[in-house]
Amino acid sequence: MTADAIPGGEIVRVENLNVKVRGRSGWTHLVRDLSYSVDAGGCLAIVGESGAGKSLTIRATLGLLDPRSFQVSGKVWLGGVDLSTLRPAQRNAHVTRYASLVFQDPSRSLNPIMRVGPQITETLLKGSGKEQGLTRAQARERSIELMRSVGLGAAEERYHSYPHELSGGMKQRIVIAIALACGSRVMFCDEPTSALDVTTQAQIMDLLDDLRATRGISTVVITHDLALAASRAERVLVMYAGQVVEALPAADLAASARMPYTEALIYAAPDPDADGGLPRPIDGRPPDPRSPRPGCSFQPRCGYAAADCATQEPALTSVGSGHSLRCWHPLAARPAPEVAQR
Amino acid sequence: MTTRLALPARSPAGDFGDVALSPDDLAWAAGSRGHRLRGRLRAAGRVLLTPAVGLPGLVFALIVLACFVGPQVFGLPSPNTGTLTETMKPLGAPGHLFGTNALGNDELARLLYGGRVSIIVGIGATAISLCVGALLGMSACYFGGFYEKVIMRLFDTLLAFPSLILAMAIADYLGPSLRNTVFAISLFGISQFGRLAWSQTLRIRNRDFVAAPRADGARGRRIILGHILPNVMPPLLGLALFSVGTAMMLEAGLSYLGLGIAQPNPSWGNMIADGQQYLYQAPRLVILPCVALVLTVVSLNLMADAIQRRQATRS
Amino acid sequence: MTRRTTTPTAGQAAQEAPAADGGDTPPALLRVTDLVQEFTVKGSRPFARARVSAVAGVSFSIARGETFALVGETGSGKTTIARALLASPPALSGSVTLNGRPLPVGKRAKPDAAQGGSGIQMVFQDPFGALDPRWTIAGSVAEPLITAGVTDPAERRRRIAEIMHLVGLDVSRFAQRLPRELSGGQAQRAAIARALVAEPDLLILDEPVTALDVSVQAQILALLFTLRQRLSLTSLLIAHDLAVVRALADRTAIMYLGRICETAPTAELFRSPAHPYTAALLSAIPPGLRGGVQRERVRITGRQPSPLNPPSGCRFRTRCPAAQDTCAEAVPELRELAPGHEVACHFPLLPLTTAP
Repeated sequence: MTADAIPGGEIVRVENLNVKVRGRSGWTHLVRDLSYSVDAGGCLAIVGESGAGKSLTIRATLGLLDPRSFQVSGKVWLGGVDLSTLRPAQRNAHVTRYASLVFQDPSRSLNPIMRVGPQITETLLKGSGKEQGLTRAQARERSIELMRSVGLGAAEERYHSYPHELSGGMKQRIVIAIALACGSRVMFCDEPTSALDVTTQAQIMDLLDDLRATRGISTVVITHDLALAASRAERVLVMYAGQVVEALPAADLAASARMPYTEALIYAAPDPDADGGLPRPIDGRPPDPRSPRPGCSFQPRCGYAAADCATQEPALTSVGSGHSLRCWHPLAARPAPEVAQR
Repeated sequence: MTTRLALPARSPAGDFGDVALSPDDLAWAAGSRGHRLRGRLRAAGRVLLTPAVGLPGLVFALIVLACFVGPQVFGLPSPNTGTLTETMKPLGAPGHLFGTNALGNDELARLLYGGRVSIIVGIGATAISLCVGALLGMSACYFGGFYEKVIMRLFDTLLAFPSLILAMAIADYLGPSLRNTVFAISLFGISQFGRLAWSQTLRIRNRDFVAAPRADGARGRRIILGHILPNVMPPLLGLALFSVGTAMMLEAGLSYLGLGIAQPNPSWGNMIADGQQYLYQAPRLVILPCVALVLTVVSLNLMADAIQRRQATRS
Repeated sequence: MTRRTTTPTAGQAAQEAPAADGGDTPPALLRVTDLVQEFTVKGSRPFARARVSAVAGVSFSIARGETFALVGETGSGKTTIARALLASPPALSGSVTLNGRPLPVGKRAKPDAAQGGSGIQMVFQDPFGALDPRWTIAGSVAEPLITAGVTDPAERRRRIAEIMHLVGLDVSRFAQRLPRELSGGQAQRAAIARALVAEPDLLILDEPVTALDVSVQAQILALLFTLRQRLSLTSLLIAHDLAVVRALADRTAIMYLGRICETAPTAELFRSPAHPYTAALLSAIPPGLRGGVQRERVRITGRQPSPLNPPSGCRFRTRCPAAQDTCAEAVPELRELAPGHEVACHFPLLPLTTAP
């Protein structure tokens, strides 16, 4: 019961996702009422501090959380198919076919005792290759092509390398090649470039852009780097304490952000272009999900908090095209700053 | 005398007039040391109180108590002064709870005095192995070079011998006595502890908290004892607990073969050897020391098991 | 109350002349000349040994009170230089003087505690790696004092209380805690306290905020900035994150495969990079959200060459979009572009001031 990507439609749609974890004294609500969607060929970035629930969100979307410890509710559509209508085995097959997960540390995804080429070949033979009846030799040729298309030079030689012989950037490319071999239409990347050098980061992000442009593969990128999200993604989701607090287009992010937390994030990150501007730390710490308090979760740390912020929790409301906020007193809309051309 | 940091000028009292320490902070600064040891003891106490560790520990403690204090408390006769008129009394005979052996010695007394020997050998040999092995292993890994190669080959040599054969050879050469038995058994353990200490030190020696004092110029001895030893200790202690049991078994084996503790001094090993010939008439002569040995070793192993499991789940 | 005394002798003070560019720049606290470091690794064939050229003749100087950044990607040699300054392991050749005093260089060199150690302390990337997990925070902070010969426990406790207060940790709350009870930011503060308690001449910061969360990063950066002002700290910052460098460093040097490509005051380096590699690095980072500078992407081609067999001449030439024949023949030397701005390139992006 598989459906190919609906051209121009949504490839991923999540509604009212809730994730609870079993603790010593009952359930702790980690992700609350989260909804998002990704268009086919689009790029969504999920940004937030550690503990905000970003990784949990995508793992819950893909059904990777252990049901013994986690309770997941909400509706997930992947490739146009409602996952709750599938039986568990079918659901796993569908998710494996459609989506892939790229981790921060590529060593986690690669078998250390197997050469990298065969890892791609095996994936091909088990997945789309099986349908197409590929022979082993054909699968090998396809693998080398895939390695070239992800930007690995000397693919014929590198086919026989072990993972530990490759640099971080190359390993990450192999992981992406394996994802392509699966025939994924959407790639979820959990901090894919944090462990990499600056130039390699740029190259991997370029690769993802390229795959979007040429093959229409959508990407969901989790990152704590708001500047990276703003420069590479189409839409940005800002998460705090398990909820989406702002969802907005990435273009002109700094100017159009209106939630105080987003502004705090913008000022907390060191800026390579700001002259003499030290980053401004955000006072306090994220709330403990085990002891939830009434009102807005960001209120204790918010510089603009008013009286009603502590009593009532704001709902996610739309304030413009594709821009929604969770705040009682959003910042006023600002004119776009001049961007210097260097 | 140059002050490198341009700290705010110190007041005549020598402190910073400018750095406003809170009263709590000042109280701490005026306090004294000694917290660390108390903290460690308290932590050790907490571990011992958990049932998984505490129950076997209690059994072992009772056995030790019985062996060392029992004979005085229960007013038992000496294990060697039996008269031939009292030979082979059965269990429950008046005045001899566990009966007597072929020479008329009280079996209970022999069991308890024999236990003393076994426990002393077990703990003593393990303690020597632990101290010598750990020091050699840690220093070999830390200092490296030719010294390390020599020490590791020494360990390899010791390990190449089967433990019992090695102990036998040494005990035979030196002659049977308590001290020589302890020495012979400890020799084998040195390479075990040494190799474990070496591999654990390998794990830590390039960590920053070792590199920093080294770069400051701290002496190797201080770094090894202060940083490497505390971090290497937990697995070593686990091995030590298991090793006490092994050492006791080794001693029993040696004494059984006549190379350990000599008659008429009892040890569980030579009691089993003696009792062999009377296996059909009075199996208790063999069974009792066997049960004692098993109880002691198993309780130690259970304790070690529980401690290691705790460490594994904690880290 | 013993403190290390390392007053420069008269002769050495005279040598510590102001920087070559003249003017009234402060005298150099640290002067590194032609530092070389190589490692032996296993070769591809059995019993074969290969040499990795990690640092190939690096020279720079840091003035008193200045924060100097070494920026580079993996394999550039920046961390190797930091460790060489600490003599763990010491550099193969070259000279390093701190405050006029030469530091150990050469295979058998070891830092000497009697001489007051090296006068250099380091803050590491992993805050929990720098603190012994079985020592209390107070114990870890006290250790450099003990090594430096401060024997009076009351004196030690006072200095610990002061330095912990300066880094923002309550002594009464944190002194008896173990590292695992602390958060990442708190542990890094403790590590900074440990590094500063013995009043070092030079503080090396090795990627001090890379392992921390965004908002904690900002707190530690603010702390480092404050400490710098308050204590007139001289520091060497090792980083690959250009944004952090922009926030903290006065001067920056860009390194590639063991050599320095460009050195300049930080703001000038970001505004007008002269080396193609610097331009490539700057164009690869996402534009800052506040300052928003769109840079034209300079793409570097090819793969990072192996340090076992670095390219002849300019080591960047195999990936440089503007490489020419001269680049393979001669090693480019650092030449001055503007006061304080030097570049090692045969065809820099900006014109040199005068012919050398």
